[in-house]
Amino acid sequence: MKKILLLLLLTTISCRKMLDIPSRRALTEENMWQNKNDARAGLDACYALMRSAILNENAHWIYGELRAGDFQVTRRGDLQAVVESNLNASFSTMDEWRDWRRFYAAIAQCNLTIARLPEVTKRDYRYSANDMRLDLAQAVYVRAFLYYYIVRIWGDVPLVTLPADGTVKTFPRENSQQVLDFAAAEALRSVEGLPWKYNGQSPEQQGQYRGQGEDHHRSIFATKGMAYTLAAHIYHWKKDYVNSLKYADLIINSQGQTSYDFVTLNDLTRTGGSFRGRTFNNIFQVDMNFDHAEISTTGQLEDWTLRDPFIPKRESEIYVPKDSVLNIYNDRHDQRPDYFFTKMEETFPVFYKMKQIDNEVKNPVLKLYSSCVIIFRYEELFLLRAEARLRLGRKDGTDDLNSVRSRRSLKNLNPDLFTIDALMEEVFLERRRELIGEGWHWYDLVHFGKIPSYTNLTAADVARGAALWPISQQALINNKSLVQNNFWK
Amino acid sequence: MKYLFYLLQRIAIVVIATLGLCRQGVAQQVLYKNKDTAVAAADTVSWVKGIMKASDSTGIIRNNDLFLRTATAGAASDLHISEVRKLPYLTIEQALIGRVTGVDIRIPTAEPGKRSSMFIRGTSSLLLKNSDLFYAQPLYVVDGMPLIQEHAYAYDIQRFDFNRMGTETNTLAGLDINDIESISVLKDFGATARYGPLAANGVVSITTRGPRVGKMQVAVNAYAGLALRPPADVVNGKYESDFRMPFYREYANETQWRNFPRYLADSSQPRYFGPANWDDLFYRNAFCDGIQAAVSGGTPFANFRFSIGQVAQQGVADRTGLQRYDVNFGINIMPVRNLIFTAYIGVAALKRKRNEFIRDRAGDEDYLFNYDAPLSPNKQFLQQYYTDLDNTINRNRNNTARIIANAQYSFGKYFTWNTRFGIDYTQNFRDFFVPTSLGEGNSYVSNYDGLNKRLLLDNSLQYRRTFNDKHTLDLVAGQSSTWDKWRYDYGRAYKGKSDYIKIYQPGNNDSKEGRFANLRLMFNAKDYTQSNLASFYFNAGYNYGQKYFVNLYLRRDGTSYLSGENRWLLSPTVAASWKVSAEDFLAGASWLSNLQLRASWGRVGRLLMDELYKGGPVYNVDAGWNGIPNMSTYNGFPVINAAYGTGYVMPGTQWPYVEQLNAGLDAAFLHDRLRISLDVYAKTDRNLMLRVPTPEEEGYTGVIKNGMSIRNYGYELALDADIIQGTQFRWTTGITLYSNQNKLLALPDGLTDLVIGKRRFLVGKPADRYWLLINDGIYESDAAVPVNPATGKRMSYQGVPLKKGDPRWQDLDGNYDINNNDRVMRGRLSPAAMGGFSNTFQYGPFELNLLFNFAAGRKVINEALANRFDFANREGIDDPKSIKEITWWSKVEGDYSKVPRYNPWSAVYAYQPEQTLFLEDASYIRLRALTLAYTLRSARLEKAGVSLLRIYATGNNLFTITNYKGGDPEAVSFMGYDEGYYNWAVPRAFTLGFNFQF
Repeated sequence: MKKILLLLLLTTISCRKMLDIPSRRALTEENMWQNKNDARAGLDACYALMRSAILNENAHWIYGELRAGDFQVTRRGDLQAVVESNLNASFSTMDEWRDWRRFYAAIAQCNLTIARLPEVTKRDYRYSANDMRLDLAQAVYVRAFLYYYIVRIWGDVPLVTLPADGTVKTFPRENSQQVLDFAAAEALRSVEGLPWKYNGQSPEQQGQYRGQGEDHHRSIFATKGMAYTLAAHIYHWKKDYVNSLKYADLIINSQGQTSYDFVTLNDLTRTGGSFRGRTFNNIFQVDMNFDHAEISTTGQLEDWTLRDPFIPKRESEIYVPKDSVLNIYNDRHDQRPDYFFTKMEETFPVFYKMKQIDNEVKNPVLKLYSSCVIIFRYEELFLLRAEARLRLGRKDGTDDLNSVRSRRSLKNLNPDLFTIDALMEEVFLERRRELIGEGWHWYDLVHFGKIPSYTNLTAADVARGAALWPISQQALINNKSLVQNNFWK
Repeated sequence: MKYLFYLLQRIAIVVIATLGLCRQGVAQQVLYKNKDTAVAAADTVSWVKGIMKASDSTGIIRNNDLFLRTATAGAASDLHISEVRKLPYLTIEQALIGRVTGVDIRIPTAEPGKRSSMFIRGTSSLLLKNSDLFYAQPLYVVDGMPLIQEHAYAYDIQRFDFNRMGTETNTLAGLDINDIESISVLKDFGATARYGPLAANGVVSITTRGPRVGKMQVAVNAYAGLALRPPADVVNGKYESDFRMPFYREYANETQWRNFPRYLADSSQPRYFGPANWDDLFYRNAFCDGIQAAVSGGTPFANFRFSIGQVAQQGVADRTGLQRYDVNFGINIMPVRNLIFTAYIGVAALKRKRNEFIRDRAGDEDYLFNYDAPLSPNKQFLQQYYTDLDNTINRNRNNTARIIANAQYSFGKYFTWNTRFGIDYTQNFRDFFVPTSLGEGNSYVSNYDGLNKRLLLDNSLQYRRTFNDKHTLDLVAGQSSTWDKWRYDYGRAYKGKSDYIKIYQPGNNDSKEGRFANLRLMFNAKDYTQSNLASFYFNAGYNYGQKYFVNLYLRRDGTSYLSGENRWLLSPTVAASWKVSAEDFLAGASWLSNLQLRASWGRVGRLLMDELYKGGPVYNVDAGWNGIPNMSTYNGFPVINAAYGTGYVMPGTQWPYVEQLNAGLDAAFLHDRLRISLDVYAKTDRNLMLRVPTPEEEGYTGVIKNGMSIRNYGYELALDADIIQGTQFRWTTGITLYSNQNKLLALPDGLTDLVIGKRRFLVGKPADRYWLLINDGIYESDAAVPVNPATGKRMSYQGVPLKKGDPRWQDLDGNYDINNNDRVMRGRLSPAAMGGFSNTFQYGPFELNLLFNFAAGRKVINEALANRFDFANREGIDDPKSIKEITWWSKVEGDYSKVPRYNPWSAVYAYQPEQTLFLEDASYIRLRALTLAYTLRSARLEKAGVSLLRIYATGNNLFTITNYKGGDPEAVSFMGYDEGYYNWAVPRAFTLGFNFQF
């Protein structure tokens, strides 16, 4: 009997031990933000969630390219609906594109990281205040970029800057100009904490960053150059060309610091070229990388533009019709069509600008793509500055235009022979030629006010907000203070 | 012939093995007798027997059993096991259909041994995806050991909601029905509460045939049978082309004409336009056989049972099948007086041959191929494909072991101490290899190694005493601990170097080219979760003269899945019963042989199934996007993000729990010739966890918190009658009826309306309804579309104006836009009423049994038919829905005449399954089983030591009467969608068998 009682007692005592087992699957709040690794993993999540939002169902090209009409659809009904700006159509992918949750998840991760990083410095001596300032500045940059990105899609968006705390809140839409002002201020704030390069030579970043050399981080992790470029773009979208020009100038004049440079067509399009990235030609890229097994079957433009014999697929999802190619590249000296297109002799040419299929997944092809998304590159920045100068009545914008043209075997334009408006048109067309497939053309149509002449939307539609995307039903249901964009009501 | 030889060989092996053991057993018995003195008093024998019988409980709580078990059905339904034993059932679920009340069994496909699902008294959670099913399954208890079930966590890393990683073998398929003494489905909390939180979804209690005291006895049971190849309405390209042409003529524009599928475009190619005869390669007459032999016997001091069995069942389709070997051993030893030691060991090995669905292969590979060209419907062109399939590896093995050790010691006059220790252990392996020829030139390999383990330790002390022959008091106090552990290791790799290397061994950082493939083309996952449960219980039972019973059960459970302050839950259960027929005033009523009233109320905690809920919001790695669920780095650096995809976990998660009120009546008339049992119940789940929507602007998909409440209520009726009870001829009939209704009582945060995926949940309304648009024909022209007089806009579907050829859906809210507000909640898969009707006729040595099962008020969405018409959205896209299995070349069953010719290319998704057009009545009645047995009795046989010799024949699923125009009304997905060729109809099957005991 004694033994029995003893046994009973023992089992009771062991109860707490039995139930207090640490979780192996879930990382809880109390265990996060403890040390340097937590801080860095939390920061990387800002970048990674940004990538998720941009690549989900090829969103980058849906928002930035397809509605503009240069690309045509072979058979997918959902893509056809996007090309026709029939954005309320009922497709599961369309639900994804209308929905901004993934962008806000990335923003939330930035908000969280910005709020929590300072705690880590106090807890982990290895994580110096200097480390923290650099990482924080990166999160600030990513958040500013994301707001810039979504304002272009939905217009007025809620401005959320604090992490979730479990309390119920409402998030009304904020005037897009205010959001852009916030983003611009944040981009400039981030400059202070960011280095020009991750080479350990600047007060902002000393020693080896995360055990890797300068080239590992190039055009991927935020730098001063990226932040100024972003600021220039935000002001550009605001049509504040004075400021846009100011920051564009600042970067271009800091070439000694940034080492940014133009890219040859060969380097732009070759496997392992610009769409592999980490070059001085790319200012900012959303990274994918075969070496890190950051490869995917969906999310890259290749998945939609390639076909037999490059990947096992009879028809690509989208293509640029032959007539369009000839029309877009109407100067026979232009080398770009040869680099950007192939199979021109067939009914459906293949858009061949991006084709990052690593040798390891060739012969036969396993559809795992690894191309990065180039957000900003040097040519694009020059065309931006060209426009800003012209908008301010400065004909020297032509010089910027010509620096791109000359590198593509086009003749220099003589500013004296053109009006400002005509030069502006040339900038627009040059952007279309140079940046095709990189997710700019639709935004250019919006910015240059050319939607009615390039798409089936009328000026009246645009005035009613047709250039914006509708907000998803899910977002509207979950946040009662949201109001649908006018045109899509 | 080859098969018969193989069968005979195996029978011989089993018999020889058994006989060998039998001889040993006899020797031991003799030895024991010699050693033994005259201690074996007669009362000991009966006492031992009694204790062995009660071995199915966790601890000893017997008073409750007493009044629950007197009923033949009702709150604890027993299965007529003798009938079931004759039938070729692989799983417990199959055995229960139509035979017990209160269960809703869903078997989506007739693939032998595949995971199926059972819901006792309704579902207490929202069933939206496969992983939800895992949390709704009942507890299976074998000889008092609650079995561990498969965990749903593997779905976390899966892109598609098809099969769970691993073998997908029904975990209960390891039990041989011939080893089972009884199966009861326990529903009343009076019966289930003692299994604690594990039993929140009800209990299926299985008692195996344990050791027995007596002379050595050998039993051999064997059967063999044939499942008939189902008829297939095969078609070829011509049929398909003819079907589509009218749509093209009416609606197609130039682009759509241009995209007319190539394989249907050229009627001269024999590949698609040759005769359709693929069914010869796909279907077959399938054999099944089973043999089991057992030997048992012994003295009261040491007795045992040993059995060994083998079952093989082929599926009629796609060369599927299941093979099982099992060994069971049980022993009772009484080393000293009053101490009884019992040990049961059961092991089984299962090998399952799975289907070869292209879809499932894509799911396994997490890679979509180009599906432009389907397989040919012609044999001639399929040979190569089937040869390629032979080069795949698709091995699925489950090994299970169950060990139960029980020691019982009686002391004083009234005390019994019981200690039980149990292990349930399942390991499942899946090796999967796809050669280059089936993967566009790239091979693929994956290995899965999963382990589920439960340890149980239960100690209890019982005080049981009867005063004055009237008052019986039964007090039990005990403690029980359960340690559960799930684990898996999984790895896959693409693009192997050679088809001859079929093992997963990719490179590492030093040597990137591994034996199988490049380092980057592999993916590894490991997962582990552990759930411990500590419980203390106390039971007080009292009965007065076997007439009035009351019972109070108190239990305190602590779970390791919750944080310290919310970890413990106290749950009481009270039960009472009154045996009216034992009252004096009914003593004279000879027409009434039994009348008993029962009532119980109880509360039982519900175990959470994930580790997320311990300390508020969690972090995870969720950096992928659609199609890429497992991205975990950025620029080569690891990522940890707040769990936006999972949801914001509110701190302070508490136990969800179930409360159930049950009232029952058992009555028997005319010397038990007519037996009735009726139960009514209301089962309310409270405080359930749910992810509720939150503003997307904080990034989260939702907030996970307690607060959902669902009630299931209904009745169960069982009626048995011995209509004729002659000496030569007997006729017994039985009918069971079960009805369950379901209602959503509350959502967290006072929400009243919630949309999740394709379903809507409204507080106060049932939680299991489809959510559909109402069809009202078709718009024959653009002009027929109504125009909103206020805005001048045409009626639209989610903002897209409707046109000619679009469905005329009812605009319920009159706003000239068809959207979710115009959907209605209608129809459900779980039947309004279901049950069984059985008849047994006995004439001399002959016995005939017929079992019908039926379901009424059951609705199914004929998705197969919807998909048939939705061909325009299912052709050549990077989506599993463009996959055409070989069975695609058969006519989809359904009522084509009712489906209007909508424009399949319309952006309004005209042929979406979620519309009343495709909601069909799937009520049915089916002759599920027919058995004819002949028992040989003769003096000569008895003299020869043969105690039983019976031969029997069975027919399964002989016919079905149903209004359902699609396929088999029972073969639909867990969520109520008839997915056509992914849901195989149960075949007609016949078996012949014998039982032999000597």
